[in-house]
Amino acid sequence: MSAQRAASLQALMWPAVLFVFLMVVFPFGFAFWLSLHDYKIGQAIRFTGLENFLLIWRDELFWNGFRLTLQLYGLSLVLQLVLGVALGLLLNRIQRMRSLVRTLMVSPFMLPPVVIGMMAIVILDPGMGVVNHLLKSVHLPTSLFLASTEGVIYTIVFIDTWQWTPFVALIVLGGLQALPQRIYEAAAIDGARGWRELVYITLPMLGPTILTAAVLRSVDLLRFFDVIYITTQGGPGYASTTLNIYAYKKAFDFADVGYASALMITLSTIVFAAVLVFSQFRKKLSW
Amino acid sequence: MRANLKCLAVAMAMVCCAIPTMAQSFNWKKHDGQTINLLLNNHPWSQAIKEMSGEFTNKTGIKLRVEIFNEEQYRARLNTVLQAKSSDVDVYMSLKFREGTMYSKAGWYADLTPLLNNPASTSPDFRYTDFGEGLRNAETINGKLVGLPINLEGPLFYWNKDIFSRCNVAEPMFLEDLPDTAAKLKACQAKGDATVWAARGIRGAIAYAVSAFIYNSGGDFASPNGKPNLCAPNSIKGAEMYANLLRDYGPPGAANHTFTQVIEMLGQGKLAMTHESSNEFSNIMKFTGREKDIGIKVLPKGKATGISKPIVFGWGVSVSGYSTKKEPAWYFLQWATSADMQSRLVRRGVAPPRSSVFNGPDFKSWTGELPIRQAWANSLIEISKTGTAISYPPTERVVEAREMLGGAVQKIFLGQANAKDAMCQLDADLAKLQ
Amino acid sequence: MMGLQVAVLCVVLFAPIAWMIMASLKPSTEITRFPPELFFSPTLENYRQLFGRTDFLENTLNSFYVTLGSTALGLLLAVPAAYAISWHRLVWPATLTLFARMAPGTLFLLPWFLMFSQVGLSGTHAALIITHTVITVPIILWTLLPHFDGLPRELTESAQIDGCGAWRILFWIVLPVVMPGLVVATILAFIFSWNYFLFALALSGISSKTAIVASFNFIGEGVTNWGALMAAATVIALPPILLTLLIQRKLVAGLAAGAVKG
Repeated sequence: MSAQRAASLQALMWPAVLFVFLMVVFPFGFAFWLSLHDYKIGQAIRFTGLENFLLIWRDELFWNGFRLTLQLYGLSLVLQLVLGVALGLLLNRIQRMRSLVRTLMVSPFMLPPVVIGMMAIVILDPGMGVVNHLLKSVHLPTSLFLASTEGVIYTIVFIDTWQWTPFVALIVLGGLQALPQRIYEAAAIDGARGWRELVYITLPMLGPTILTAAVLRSVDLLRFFDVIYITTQGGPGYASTTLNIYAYKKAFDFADVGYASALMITLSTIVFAAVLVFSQFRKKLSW
Repeated sequence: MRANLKCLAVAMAMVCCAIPTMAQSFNWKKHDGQTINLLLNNHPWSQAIKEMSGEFTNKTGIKLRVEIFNEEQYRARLNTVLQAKSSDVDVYMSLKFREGTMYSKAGWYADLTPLLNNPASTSPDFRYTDFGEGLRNAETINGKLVGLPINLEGPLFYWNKDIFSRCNVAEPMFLEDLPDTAAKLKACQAKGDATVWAARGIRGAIAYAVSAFIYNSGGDFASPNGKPNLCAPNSIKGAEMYANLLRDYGPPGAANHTFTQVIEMLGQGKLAMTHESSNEFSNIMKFTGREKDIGIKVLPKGKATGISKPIVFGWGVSVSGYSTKKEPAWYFLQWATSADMQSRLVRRGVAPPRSSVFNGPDFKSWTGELPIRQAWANSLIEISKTGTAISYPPTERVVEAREMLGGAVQKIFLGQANAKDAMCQLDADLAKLQ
Repeated sequence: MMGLQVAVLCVVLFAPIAWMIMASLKPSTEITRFPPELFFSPTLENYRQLFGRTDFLENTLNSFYVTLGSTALGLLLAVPAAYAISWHRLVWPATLTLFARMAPGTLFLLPWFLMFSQVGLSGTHAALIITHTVITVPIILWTLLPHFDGLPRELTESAQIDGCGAWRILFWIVLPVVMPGLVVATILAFIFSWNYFLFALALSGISSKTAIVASFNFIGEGVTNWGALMAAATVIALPPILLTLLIQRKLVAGLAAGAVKG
C-alpha cells in the first residue's frame, strides 16, 4: 500500500481529534489553573500551588466519596455488563414483533435523568411508594431504599442497572449482527452448539463490543451525579456523596471554586486511568 | 398696580402649572426601546412577572427577556454568568441572607443607593419606606442598597384539624406540647394511615425548619461574643426535639424528605402536623378539601421561655454589578415591587413585603374570602414582626454552616450520635468557618 | 419458555415508563396518591397546560435542532475517524476524544461560557450544537470501533488496489458492512444529546432553551407540578423511542455476510 494512501486514511481522523482537542484544552487548562489557587467567591484569589491536592489527600469526605464511587462503579459495571450481554443475546433471538419488543426493552435509558429521579422519589418512597406497598402485600420485607444509610448505594445501583442495562444490550445487539456467519456455520459442522457456541465463539467475538460498552459505562458511572442529586443530594448524611456530587457542592453551594476544581481534576484523572486500562484491553482483543 | 397684579397672576399661573409638571418630571418612558435580560428563580413571583411583562413594556417601552430556571439550575447558571463577569444578565433574584455578603464582596450587586436617592431615577410614588424595616435591612449590605424585597416567607405550623378532632387531641399551644401531641396522635386509631409528623429531613434543608425550635427553646446560634452556641443546653434541647419528632413520629424515609414529600402528604390529607414553608400555601390549596381542614399558625412559642422567634426572610431582586443597563433595570425593579403589582401577586400566594399592601383593601378582600387565607396572612404578619433570618452563627459561609447544622440534626434522628455530642461537635466544626 | 422470559422482561423494563405515561394523563394531585389508582379516567389537562401555558413546544423544537445538528456533525466527524483509527491500529486518538467525558460536566461550564461569549455565540443554537457534538463524537467513535476492527483488512486493501480514494472506500464499501454499528451509534448519539441538560443550562438563551432544561421547571418550592412534569417527560421520551422503533429495522444479521465472503 502506498504511503500516499496511508496518509489519506489517517487524515480522516484529524477533524474529530482536532475538534475535541480544541474544545477541551482551555477548560482543562483553566480548571487546572484554578486548582492551584485558593479561590472562594467574594474573597481575594491566592496562589497556593498543590495545597488543594494535599487537602484532598487529608479530606475524609474525599475518601468517603472515593469509596462510594468505586463501590457504585464496580457493582454497576459488572451487573450491567453481564445482564446487558444476556439481554442483548435475547434480543437477537426475538422473531415475533421484533421492532416493538426490542424498542420496549431498550426504552429505559431513553428517559431523562430528572424524570428517573422524580419517579424514584415517588415509587421508592418508604412510606408512600408503590414498591413497598407491593412488597408488603406479598409479605416480603420492606426497605428504606434511598433513605437508608447502608442501602442507598445499592438502591442507586439498582436504579442505574434498570436504566442502563438496555444500553449495553443495544450495543451488544449491534455487535451480534456484525458477527460473520461463516464462523457459526463452520462451528456447526464441528458440532459446537448451544452454550458451547456461546462461550467459545460468540462471547470471545463480542469482546471488542463489550469493551466499548464497558468504556462508555465507565466514564459515566465514575462521574455519577444526576439521580443522586435529585433524590438524596448526597444523603442520608454523606452515604451517597460520590466524588462528582462532592465537587458540585463545593463549587456551586459552598462557592469554594479552587478546591472544587482540584476535586474535578482528581476525578478526571481517575476516569482517565480507567479508560487507559480499557484501551490496553482493546489492543489485546482486537488485533 | 394693575400691571403688578397681572404679573402676580401670571407668575402664580406659571407656578401652578409648574407644580404638576415637577411632580411629573419622572419619566417612565426615559429608556424607551431598551431591552433588559432577567434571570429568575422558579417561583410564583417569577411566573407572574413573566406573564405580566407586557404591561411593563407598555408603560416604559423597555422590553423584557425573562428566563426562569428551577432553583438548582438557576444557581449553576447564575454563578457561571456572574463569574464570567458577563453583562448578559441585568436583573436576577437573590436570597441575601444566604449569599448576600459573598456576592456583595465579589461585586456582583449593583449599588442601587444613588438610583434610589435620585428623583430623576425613582418614581415619587415608589415609597421605599413602605417595605417592612427588616426586609429593607436585609437588602442593604454595608450601607449600600443591593436589591428590593419581592416577597416574605418562612416556615409555618400547619396542622390537619380534621385528624385532630377525630382523635380528640387539642391543638398544641406551646412548643413543649408537640411531643405529647404527637404521642397522642400516634396512639389514636381513628387517624387511619395518616402520618403524625413530617418535616424536612434532607441535610441541606433542615436548617430552615429546625431553627425556630432552637430559638423557642431559648437557644441561639451565636453567643454574645459571636462564637457558635449550639452546644448550649437550650440549643441542644430545641434541636433534639426536632430530631426526636422525626425519629419517633416521622414517616419512614424522612432522611430524604424535603418540601416535595411533606407537602404531598399534607395535601393528600395524610399528615397531622408539620413545620413547612408559607410558600406552599397555594400548592396545598390545590388539593380538594384542604382549605377547610388545614389550620395555619406560627410555630407555638416555648412554654418555659415564652419566646417565639420564627424564621422569616424574603427573596430580593437585584441588578447585576456587570449590567450595562442599570437604570432601565432599576425601572423594572420599581415597577415589579410596586404596591399595585404586589396586591395582584397576593392572589398567587406571594406574600407582599409592603405594609400598605398587607393592610390594603385588595388583600383584605382576598383574605376575607376564606378563613384559612386570613390565618395565613395573620401568620405572615406575625413572623414579619417577630422573625429573623439568622439560622447560622456569624460567618460568610452561610450555606456550609446550614448544611453542617442539618448534618448534625440528621445524625441525631438517624441514631448515629446523641444530641449533646452531635451539637457540640457541630459547634467545633462551625468555629472553623468563622 | 422464551416467550415468558420476554414478557416478564418487557414488563419489568417498561413498567416505570408506563407509569409515567399514565401519570401524565392524571390530574396533578392524583399522581402521588397512595395507594395508587390503576383505573382512572384520563385527562389531557397536563398536556394542555404544557403546550398552552409554557414555551414547551418551542423548547422541544430547539431540542430537535440541537440534537439533529450534533448527531449529524458527530457522525460526520466520528465515522471517518473511527475508520482511520481502526485501520491504523491507533489507541491514543480514541482515548483523546473521550476526554470531554472524563471530567464532570460542570468543569466545562465557565470556560465554554467565556469562549462562546468571546465569539458572540453565547445563547445560540450553534453553541449548543457544538458543545453537544463533543458528547456525540466519542460515543459514535467508540461504538463503531469494534465494527471497524472486525473488518477484514482485505476489504479496504482490495479497494485501494482498485484505485479508490479513502472517502469512496468508506462510503460505498465499508459503511454498508458496518451498518448495524452505525444504527446503534446514531441511536445512542441522539439519545445522549437529547437528554443532556448541563451545557444547555449554561449556554442556551431564551430562544434556544431545550426541552430537557425546561422540564426541571416543574419541580420547585411552591410550584411542584407533577402532572406537567410527567407530560413533559412523556413528550421528551417520545422521539428517542420512535427513532429506535424506526431505524432498528436495520439491525438485522446478514448485512455483514455478503460483503465479507470470498
